[in-house]
Amino acid sequence: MKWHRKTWMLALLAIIAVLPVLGIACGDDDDDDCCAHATTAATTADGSPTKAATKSPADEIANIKGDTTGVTDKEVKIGSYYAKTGPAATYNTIQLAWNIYFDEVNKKGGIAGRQVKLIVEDDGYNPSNTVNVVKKLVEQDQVFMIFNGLGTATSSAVAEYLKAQGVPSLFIASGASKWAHSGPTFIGIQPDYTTEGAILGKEMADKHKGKKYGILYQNDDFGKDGREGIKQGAGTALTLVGEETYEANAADITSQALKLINAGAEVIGVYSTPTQFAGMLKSVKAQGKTVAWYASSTTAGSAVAKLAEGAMDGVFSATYLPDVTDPSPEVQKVIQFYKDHGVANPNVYHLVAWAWAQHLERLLTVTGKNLNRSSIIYALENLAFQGDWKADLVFKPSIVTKDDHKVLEAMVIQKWNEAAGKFEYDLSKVVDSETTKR
Amino acid sequence: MKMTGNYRQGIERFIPSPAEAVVLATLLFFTWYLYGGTGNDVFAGLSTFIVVAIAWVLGVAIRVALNDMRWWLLVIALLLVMAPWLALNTFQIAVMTEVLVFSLLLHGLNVVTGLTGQMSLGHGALVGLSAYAVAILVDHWDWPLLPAMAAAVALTFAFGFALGIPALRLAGPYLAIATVAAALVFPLVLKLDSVQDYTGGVQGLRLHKQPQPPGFIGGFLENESIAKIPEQKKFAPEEVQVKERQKFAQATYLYFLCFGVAAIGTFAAWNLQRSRFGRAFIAVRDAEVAATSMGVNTALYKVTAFGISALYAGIAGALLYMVVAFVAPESFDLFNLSINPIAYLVIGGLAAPGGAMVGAFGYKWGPEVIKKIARTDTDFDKLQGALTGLMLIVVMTRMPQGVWGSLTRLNSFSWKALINETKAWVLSRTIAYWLAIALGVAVVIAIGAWFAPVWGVFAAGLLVVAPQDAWAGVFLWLRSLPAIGRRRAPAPGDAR
Repeated sequence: MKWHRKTWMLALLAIIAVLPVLGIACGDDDDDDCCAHATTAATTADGSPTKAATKSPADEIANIKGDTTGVTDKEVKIGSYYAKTGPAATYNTIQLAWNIYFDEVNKKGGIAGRQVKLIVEDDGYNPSNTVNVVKKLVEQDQVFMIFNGLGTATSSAVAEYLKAQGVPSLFIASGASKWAHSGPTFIGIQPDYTTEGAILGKEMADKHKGKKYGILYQNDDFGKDGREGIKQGAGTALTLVGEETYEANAADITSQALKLINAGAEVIGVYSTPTQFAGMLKSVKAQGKTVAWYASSTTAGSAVAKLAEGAMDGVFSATYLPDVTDPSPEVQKVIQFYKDHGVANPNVYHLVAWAWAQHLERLLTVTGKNLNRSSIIYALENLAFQGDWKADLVFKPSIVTKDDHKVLEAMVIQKWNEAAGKFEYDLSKVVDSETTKR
Repeated sequence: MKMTGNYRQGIERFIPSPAEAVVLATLLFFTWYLYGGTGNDVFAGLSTFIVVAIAWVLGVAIRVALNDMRWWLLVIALLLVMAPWLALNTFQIAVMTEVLVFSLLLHGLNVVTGLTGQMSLGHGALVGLSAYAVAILVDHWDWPLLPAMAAAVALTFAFGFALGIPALRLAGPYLAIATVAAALVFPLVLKLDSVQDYTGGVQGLRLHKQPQPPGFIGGFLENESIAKIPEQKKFAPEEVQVKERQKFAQATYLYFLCFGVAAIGTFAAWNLQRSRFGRAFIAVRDAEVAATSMGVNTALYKVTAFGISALYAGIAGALLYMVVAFVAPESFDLFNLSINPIAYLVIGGLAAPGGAMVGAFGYKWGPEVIKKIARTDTDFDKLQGALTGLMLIVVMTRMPQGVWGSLTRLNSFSWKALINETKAWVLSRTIAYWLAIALGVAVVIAIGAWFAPVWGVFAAGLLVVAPQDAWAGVFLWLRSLPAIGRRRAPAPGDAR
């Protein structure tokens, strides 16, 4: 009768196994009851801001109700995704630098009485990782919003999810033009790549009329937007001899560049990331080829020049921020700040981080005590960036309205001078995106 | 399931065996990991402890009554069923869901690598093929999800047979290289301009509507007494809580969908191994020539192994798309889905369904745990990848049969024998080895922690990897030191 014994045993086990499940379920029940009663009064429902015409925006903001996930009276939890590893890991500096900035802000008492707690996850610039880490930030860490997430493909991968969860993703570190019309909870921070490309293309057309040109770009939204811009800007003044692409995780892009040169290109527009760009410049120079390069803002910086070991001399790029080599007191003040905080050699990414961090600080300061996911969007569109406020270092004040979800739009063309060790640019020639529209 | 040979007598039957101790320790570690750092969800933490304790008592009962050692299978099953309630938030439920999905992939790899002995590094492409097939059918042709998944699995199954054809002509490393081609080419093909309209290029494809729990199940899961919401939201207004309960219901529903499929898959894998097919696979692996001479059609069985394996990979791919709701070419690159799963399968244990389950768990949680430990130190943060590598080396040198194999082997270990040995002060080489390692690791970690923790851990890892005989030798030599004074040079007549 062995079989019977076993059957009874299993039945018994099954019954005992189910008990803890029930126990836990009941336990949860009690918890919910107690807490629901205790706290209904504390916060109220998620509602869209109602606009009374008689009130000024500044008064209005105190009454906007919304989701307060990640916000307490003492702390606001903000998440971000950055490439700490992988092909775009150079940008990691930005994230480290705005952490230094906010440490300093927190030491001075935080913003509106709240400490800013930043949680930065590494996605390796790989969209499938971004999906995972953002899910963690939202569902496990319960962050209030996402700040300055890095990358175009990565940010696109999580956009729909963030929208569905109602989490604002602000000041995205991506110049894709789509953020301007992706809804109120999204906003990019850089000038978009199409605009930037158009500025570059226009400069090419002015300087090299009648010559042949090629375009080398990263095979994603970032590169494609830039390509469109360059083509727009160059118009018919130059002849296009070829377009080459590479994958974001490619280690080397020299062969693509050589292909363009062999096809007769005398001018090349490049949309890539720093490490690949510098390596490519070096190899092309080593082969004794001379080309006029026009590079995107992503690769404009003395740090990239250092990587290129002299090969970046004479390269043109568009930029929205001065470089560390700029001797102006404004820039040197920021550099001194980072030096005081233990950064031996601040580079352009530290300046970038400074400007980005100031935007977030400004937005949180203006939103003030009543911080929630609805009020911050209201502040973004109606209060924080209305014309008079300008972050340090950037060329023109940032303007954001309900219909204009773009932060920085002013750029200048610069040229790297290896001998002098700095970029040359003329601040009187700052171009606004409006001037390049056709 | 019954262990033959009643080697545990009397009181010893009530004491956990080393294998049980390892399982208990692992469970407690994860309890600490889940509840210690992040949420302070004391209640959920306590309930895990209670479950483990109950299961242990049950286990002792089974052991005494049925003389079956593997009570911890029951604990694992119990914990898996309860996972959505033990998890702190929907993110952790999602990770557990992925563990189940990846266990299917590892079962598939196991058929090819563990049972048939053929090396395949191309499974990432199979998973990707299936996931993309579902994505394109749903996104582009508006198919409903379920038929699309079925079609994708069928497609992958057929494709798997094709992938098996090189296996007929190639063996060992050559086959591995041939299959790598599939994994390498797949992400690139997805990004070709000509197919970008379908695959979405580098931006990938998104599933806009994940399956929702049908009426009564949804109602049950959203019930206030059933749904679990994160600690931070317990004080939120009612509307927010309702939303959280819906999220919980959604995540839990997906979890149990995958749980059902994974349970069937695991049972099938376990059964396959003991079937006519399974034995033929093993025959092909162990002695191909002998198998042929006994009438096993090796060509057929090799291709079939690839086909079955692709079936598993296809199911995993389709479920993965359903769970993650996103596919991009980079998810299916060589490391993510072809090499890492094999590495974790070897860690878990080859040729055993349990090994695949352990491997899937490690595949998903290993990096998370390392990341969590790494957070405490910036040096660690930079060397995460290296730490994973170290872990691989340690497991592969110290547990050649994988975690599962070691657990089953440890089961036959007797405390009594150890106690007797200790009493008699018979220091076996093995004990000498482990004692020396414990000592060495302790010293190195202590010194390392003083200077730079990360290097301490690496040095400790190297010590563990060092050959066993070297350690035992050191220890035995140390033990012999007091005898130095009494030693004398061998006299001419002494030899032998």
